[in-house]
Amino acid sequence: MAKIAHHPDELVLFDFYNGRLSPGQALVISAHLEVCDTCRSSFALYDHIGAMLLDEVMPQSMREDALDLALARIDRPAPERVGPKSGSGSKAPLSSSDIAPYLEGIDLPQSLKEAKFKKRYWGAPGVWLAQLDTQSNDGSKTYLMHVAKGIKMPEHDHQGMEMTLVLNGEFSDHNGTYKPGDLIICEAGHHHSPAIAMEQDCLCLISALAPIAPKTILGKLLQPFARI
Amino acid sequence: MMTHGVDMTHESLTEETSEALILRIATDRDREAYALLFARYAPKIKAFMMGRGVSPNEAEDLAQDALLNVWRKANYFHPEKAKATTWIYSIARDLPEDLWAPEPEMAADNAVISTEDAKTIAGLLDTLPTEQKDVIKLSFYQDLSHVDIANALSIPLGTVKSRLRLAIIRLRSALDKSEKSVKGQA
Repeated sequence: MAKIAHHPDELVLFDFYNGRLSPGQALVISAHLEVCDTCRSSFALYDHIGAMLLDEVMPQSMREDALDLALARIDRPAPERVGPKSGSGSKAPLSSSDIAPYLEGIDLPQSLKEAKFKKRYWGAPGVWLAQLDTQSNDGSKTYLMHVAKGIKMPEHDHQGMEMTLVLNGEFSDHNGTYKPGDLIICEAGHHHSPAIAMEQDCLCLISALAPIAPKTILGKLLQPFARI
Repeated sequence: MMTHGVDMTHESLTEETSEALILRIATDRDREAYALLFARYAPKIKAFMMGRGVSPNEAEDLAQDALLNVWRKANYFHPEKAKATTWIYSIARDLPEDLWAPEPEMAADNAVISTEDAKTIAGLLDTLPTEQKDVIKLSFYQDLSHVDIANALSIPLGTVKSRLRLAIIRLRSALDKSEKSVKGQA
């Protein structure tokens, strides 16, 4: 993978670490972390800060029989999987039939292979979308969006924070060009009109806290179909 | 590693470093070392989990589970790569999946900060302005949103975010510097 140029804000990463993001946003960040050494090193830093706070904390007495219980538990055989967690640890491996057919052959991050997406639908000519099967009930939406090469998306505003992770292909807007692994965060109030590169279709994972607001008539006409 | 004095009293045994205790578990499945480590860390993990808003009973269970995983994973511990506390902390935070983010896939080498880096950062955490350290602490201990933290400290939300960001960036740049100096020495 080429060097990743666009990363989540340090605070977003920290919120993710502390379990403060919605499941959809957490999925986007997990997928980015799989391919980004830079952001993973932040996790090591947070672990270290946490360890120092653990050192400082005033201990709470354990129950009287806690040590007996602990010694009894180490005598029991360990479950089969022991060792550094591999992300997919507790889940059974997915059979190929569990992966949506439209995603076959695309090299997805492991966390996305484990996520379930609904049937895809066409949102506009050259654009298909697939919503994450279990959406949060906070009004946010998380979905895959696939846009054919060369298409320019209608200009739109963001009413809430939106995270976009490039999975395949590339696109650009007035701020730069984004390639696989890049994570772009648009805050509420930002507007842009992304253009997909001419060479290759582009697949992104997007999690938005609020619906987008199209700024063009075409965009407004298409929004009911896109359902985003 | 401890130095063996002439009078090898029971007391000096209990002062054995946590790193040495984990190694004894790894090599000898040493139950005495485990009991010492349990006494040292279980009450702290319990307190830490309670600080995150977990009930005392649940926190007790989590402390038990964390130490059990220390026993099971002891042979993955490398004292030259991590301090015992950091390693144990990373095991503890990996436990309750609904409370913490899932651990990202990472190479074991990247997963922890080296002991050398640890000294640098430990010193630095104390040099952070109190207000920055406070928001860091609240973020780790309490199950609070940034808005909750702002309310608790009676400061604007933007201030919470800027303090957190400053603190993290400062610690991170210290880490980068110490990594460079370690590489420079090599």
